[in-house]
Amino acid sequence: MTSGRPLTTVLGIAILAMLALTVLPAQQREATTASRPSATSLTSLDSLEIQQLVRKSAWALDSGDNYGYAYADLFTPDGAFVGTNQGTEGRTIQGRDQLATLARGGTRGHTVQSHLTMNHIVKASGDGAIM
Amino acid sequence: MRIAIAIAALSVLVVGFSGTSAQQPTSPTPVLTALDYLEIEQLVYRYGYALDTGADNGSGYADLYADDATFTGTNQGPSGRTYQGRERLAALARGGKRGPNFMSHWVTNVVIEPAPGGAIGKTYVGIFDIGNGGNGAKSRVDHGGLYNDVYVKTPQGWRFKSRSFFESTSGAPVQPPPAMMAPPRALSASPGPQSPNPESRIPNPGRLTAEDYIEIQQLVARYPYALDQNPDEGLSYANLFTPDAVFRQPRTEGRQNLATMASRAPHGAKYTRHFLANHVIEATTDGAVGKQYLVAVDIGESGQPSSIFLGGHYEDVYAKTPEGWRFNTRTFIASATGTEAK
Repeated sequence: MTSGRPLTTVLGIAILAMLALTVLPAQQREATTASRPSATSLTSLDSLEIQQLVRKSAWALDSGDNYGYAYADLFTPDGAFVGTNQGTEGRTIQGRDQLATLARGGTRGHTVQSHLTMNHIVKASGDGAIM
Repeated sequence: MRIAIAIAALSVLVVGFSGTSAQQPTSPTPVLTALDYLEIEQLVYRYGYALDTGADNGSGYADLYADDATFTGTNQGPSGRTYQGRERLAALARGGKRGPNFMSHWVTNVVIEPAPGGAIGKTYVGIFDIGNGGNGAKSRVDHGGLYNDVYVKTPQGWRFKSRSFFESTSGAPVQPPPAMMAPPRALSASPGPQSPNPESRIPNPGRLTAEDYIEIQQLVARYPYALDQNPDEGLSYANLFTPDAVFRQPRTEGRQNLATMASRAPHGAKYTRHFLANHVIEATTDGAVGKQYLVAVDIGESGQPSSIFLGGHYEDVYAKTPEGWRFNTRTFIASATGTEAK
């Protein structure tokens, strides 16, 4: 951010990042069901790749790369983002085009830094990984 | 004669005894696997959630500690305060404005290394005061500093044996941090050649193993400490780079110049300013590249407000040398607002 960028906005957006963390990998359960029917533990490389996925989502969202599709393509085809802080009851954005539109909104660019991911916890679930 | 034998026997006993007593307190230093690093990192990240939510009436927080483990807030009271025992630790996590969706502790720059009996580590922490969901409430960085940790592997998994919080202070006399840590090194147990040629490159097949990811993460996590605390006139900073490395901006080439540059930056034994996030890593045919966000926070001292000094990102090229992964180039690019994409 530049010095003119309000701190409030930056910190507020950090919350969004936290929300994204809790939501993103939930989609993975759907995707991994087919390829990995009974995953009950994650290898070191699984954990690291999931960590990388979440961090990439911050880069893709802030840069709006590939007309927003860099962000959309981090989701499974039926993946969804839920902004529980949007509107009165939250809003769910599902589908590749809709997710790309989301990543095109706001001020994007290769040198925009606004989403911080942090404190990422990964746990194995029945058919993928959560949180 | 008999006396001489007795004295000789006694001295053997004494020597033998002092020999064993000198070895006794030293537990063996384990070799940490990639999974150990990840599990310790997860423990460190759970800390933020457990403390901010106060989950299970504070038990979620207390459960992160081994039996008899301690938390010390060196900033509490005139000489710091230490909490020990499950109930005291749980009570600590019940205090303040906790809640299931509360978020305040931002933990980053996690450095871990094996130590006798387990592992030691350190992390930066920024303590945010964020309003309720950004509904116009004023958000700010309240304060911050660093944690110094000792970890132990229990039957339930890795746990804190001790954790101490130090508030960020600048301009203090430069002294070594409490837990001196060696420069990053390869995770593999093999000692490698005695005098490796650090300019040589280990060929990389274009794929990264879990160990490679962790070593590169650890390299980047050490960067802020070498710069902000700089315990050795830039030496540990310079040693994060290959001998032919280039840093931009200002363009600085070679370890000697890098050490000089680091020493000109503000630093202090407990100074925390460079908070990194979103570190992504990709394999290349001859090494790896990566990037991460930087938020440089001027932590307010003595209750003064904190502010963000600058933000931006680093773009890196990493090289695998016989000493381990090192920066080959590192470029800082300041954040600039983009245009509204259509």
